[in-house]
Amino acid sequence: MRHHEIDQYARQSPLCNFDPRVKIASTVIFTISVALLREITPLIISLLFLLLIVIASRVPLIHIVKSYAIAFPFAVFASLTMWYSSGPEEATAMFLRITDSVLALIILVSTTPFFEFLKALRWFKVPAIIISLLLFTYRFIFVFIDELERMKLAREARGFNGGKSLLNVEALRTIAYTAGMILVRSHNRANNIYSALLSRGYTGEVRTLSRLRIRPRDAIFAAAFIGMSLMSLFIQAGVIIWTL
Amino acid sequence: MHIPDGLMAPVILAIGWVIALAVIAFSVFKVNKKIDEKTVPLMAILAAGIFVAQMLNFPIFGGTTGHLIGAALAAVLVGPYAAVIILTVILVIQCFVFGDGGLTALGLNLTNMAVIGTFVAWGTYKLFPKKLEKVGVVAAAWLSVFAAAFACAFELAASFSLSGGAYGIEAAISLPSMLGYHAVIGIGEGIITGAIFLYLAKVAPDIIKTRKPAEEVTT
Repeated sequence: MRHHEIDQYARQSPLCNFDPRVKIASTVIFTISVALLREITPLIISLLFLLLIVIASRVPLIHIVKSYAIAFPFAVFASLTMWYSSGPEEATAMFLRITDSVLALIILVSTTPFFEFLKALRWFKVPAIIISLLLFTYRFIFVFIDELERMKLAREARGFNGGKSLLNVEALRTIAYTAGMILVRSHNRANNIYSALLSRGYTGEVRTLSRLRIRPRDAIFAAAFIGMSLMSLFIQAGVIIWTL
Repeated sequence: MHIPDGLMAPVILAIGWVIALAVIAFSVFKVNKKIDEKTVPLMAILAAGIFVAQMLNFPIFGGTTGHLIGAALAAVLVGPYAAVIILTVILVIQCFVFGDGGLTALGLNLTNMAVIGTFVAWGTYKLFPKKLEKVGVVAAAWLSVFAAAFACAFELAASFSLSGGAYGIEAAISLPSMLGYHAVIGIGEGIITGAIFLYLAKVAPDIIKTRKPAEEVTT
């Protein structure tokens, strides 16, 4: 089933024990700097830097490629139109820019377990209601994906083939009923879960045991990302001259 | 419609964050005012339900498929402010767990789908009288997708012209392609949202929180 692979690498990579706050902040700074880049040279250097991090993270390459494939059509479409309207240089820069930032995000998400994110977001002063919602939603998604898979199997066992077009009323009705049924079941379950939570002393606050701590290796991680960001911007501004 | 990083001009990205954060903060404030301990699990369940419903593909034609955004569905089920928060949670999870939609572009994605999608849907739904409620749901769903796509195309075009052609996509390409594609996707969203709404009204009317309790009995 699909959801077995969602969080899989987040716990295996050597980067997963790094402080999530440092990882998020470094990645955000890096992505902002990439968003500001218009020249190809710093974009290629950034890409090489990210590939080094990919190797160090030991996340299987196939997983990185699969995640990158989601953004690939957008990157290609945007670059092709850019080629047509502005020229090949801008198009290449656009493609590299999207690739660099998508890669940075993939490294972040595939080496950080979701609950570490929540702790970091809490530290960044995200409202408590959003944090608890994220926590609950994340937990429920897997339950519902299981349910959806079971319903899909049942649908197919009865001969449902997904339909061919928007004109297929039966297919659309089946899909809508499936979605409706998920909402009905989830709604019923919400009441049970709420009672269970209440009996365990839930007051609306989520507490965790572990504390966040910044270690030397986190400083190295931050220095690498922020250093790379600054270097790219300096190359673009002409402070550092670098020819490939 | 999940915008990746690196596509939009930095100015547009910043504007997206400002709008999204302002509206989400206001929505959190509105929802917090009438919250009880039961609200969070219930909203989370709906968020997860819509998240999973988004994974259901519907056929368009010639092998292409589309999927729900769910802004209209959330808006007609729980009202606009709770819907903004639900869509925000979904988009944040998509960004941080699946890498779907960029980090710096998250502000724009939130603005397009969680803010514009939700409020356009709610406004449209409210325009229709109670008798035509079902038509209203379908119209709201179609229009919410179309409005979100329009916003996205506009941002692409604005990025292009503001940066002198280094970011975004030219208006002559972005507008017709985004609008044409999503006008069709929107039909699917409309039909499915309408059918889910009908189904829920029949099977479990108490899920639809935007109705008054008296009306629940009669449906």
